[in-house]
Amino acid sequence: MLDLPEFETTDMSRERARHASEGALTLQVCDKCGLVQYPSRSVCRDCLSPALSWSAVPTAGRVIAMAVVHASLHSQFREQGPWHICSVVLDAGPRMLAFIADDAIRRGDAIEIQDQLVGEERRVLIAKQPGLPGTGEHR
Amino acid sequence: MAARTYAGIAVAQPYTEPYVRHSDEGAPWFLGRTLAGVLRDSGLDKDAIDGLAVTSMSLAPDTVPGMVEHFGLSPRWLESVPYGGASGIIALQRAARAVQCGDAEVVACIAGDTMAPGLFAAQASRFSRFSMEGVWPYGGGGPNAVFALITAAYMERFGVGREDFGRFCVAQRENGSANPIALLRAPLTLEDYLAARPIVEPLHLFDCVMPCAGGEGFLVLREEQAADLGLRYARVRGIIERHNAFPEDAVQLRGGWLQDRDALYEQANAGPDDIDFIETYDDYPVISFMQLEDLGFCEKGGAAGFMRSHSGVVGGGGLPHNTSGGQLSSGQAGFAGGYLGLVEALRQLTGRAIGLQVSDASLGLVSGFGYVNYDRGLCTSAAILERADA
Repeated sequence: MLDLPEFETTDMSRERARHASEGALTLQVCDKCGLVQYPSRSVCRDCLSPALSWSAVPTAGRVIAMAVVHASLHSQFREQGPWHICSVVLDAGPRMLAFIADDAIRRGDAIEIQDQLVGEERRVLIAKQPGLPGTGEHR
Repeated sequence: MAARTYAGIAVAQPYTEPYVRHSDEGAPWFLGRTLAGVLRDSGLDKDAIDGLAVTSMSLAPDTVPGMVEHFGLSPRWLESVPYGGASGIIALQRAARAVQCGDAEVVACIAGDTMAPGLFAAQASRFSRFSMEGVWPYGGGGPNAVFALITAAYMERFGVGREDFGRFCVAQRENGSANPIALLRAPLTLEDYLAARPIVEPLHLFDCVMPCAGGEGFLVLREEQAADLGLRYARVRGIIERHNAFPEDAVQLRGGWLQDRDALYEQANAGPDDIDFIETYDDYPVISFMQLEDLGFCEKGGAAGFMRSHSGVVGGGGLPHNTSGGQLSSGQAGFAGGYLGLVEALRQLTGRAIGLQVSDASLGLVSGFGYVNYDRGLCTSAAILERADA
């Protein structure tokens, strides 16, 4: 279980957490045009349809950039840091930020996104090496 | 179709309400002091202002119409310009068109913001739904986290090192050291820059703009009226804006300037070689690098090389860049509304620099950048301004 401080949620992020299930990455998919969406939204980014369904999508992606948060603006994150984060492009389309699960991950690497529950209605994404079991531990 | 020209439009009376790190006053104080400063220096009565454009990131629970009541104005034209650091140039564009079309005669464009301990964090934590779901939970880095990822990608893609960004910051500070209203005036060495504490790696302390309180403003009116009032002014040769350019790019290594620069230079009937100085939006060095590239001063990825022969220091040879020290020296009042570079360009073009004056400056390029709703800045703008007596 990832030990994260409390952070504020939104109507959309709580909705995503409600539909999520362990071992899957659940994002909105447009019923009309099939586009996978993230961050969660009200209408499809391409066709503007409001018919978006929560679905498990492929977790494979690629690391685009990496950073280390030292001076967090959030007091508890600051105390527990530093935090290794990355930006990822999912093969399914969307771009996302994620925590980095282990030291071996480098920019350009193929990774899998693990969608981890934090508390009751918070979820965060973690980039891990493909095929390895998720440890749930942040590096 | 090419945009209509801005013939006949004067941009006058640059004013800065001096920046302070923190203030107990609210945003209306800084907006009001800015409006009063513009009026005082121009000799205009408040009643002469029939148009007002306002930018503020810290106005809540107040509003732009609320400011009109607060300031006792009855304008026939009122514009809220909420585009972060792209706002100043966009306010100028809206105001210039309103004056050209006769919808307003004299428009005051003002930006003002307050800053208190904790306010920046509070703003960053609730900036947008997308950032609340997709950015803030990943360590609470705020804009520093987004720009660290962009900076890391840029460094790796183009082989740029920290010392390249450092040289830019050192040169800007050299300009800023001569600016008595810059908050950070102490000389900065490359050693200081490299030894600074990490904020969000690869960003360190001197890469990150310092949030603060302050205000900036100017007037837009017809040239004849400006001349009648005895105001020195600059002309507008061209303006571009773009929102959400290149949305499919995996990471932001270019901005809307690239999409629109041909239109800008066509409007201005000028090119990068004709520009006497440039004011880029420097929330982080990498963004200034992108502006130099996307506005055609060098090829993509070439900004670090360009800066080796154009340090940016006024009087240092090469293209003067961020002549007042930029936001990295002055501080950033509520994302500065992107007014800082525009107000400085007006000073340069009317021969009234507070710090270092670029000699014989007749064309200046200002660019703006703003609004990180999720993982990139969405709004870009740029303007080419000309000295009126050139």
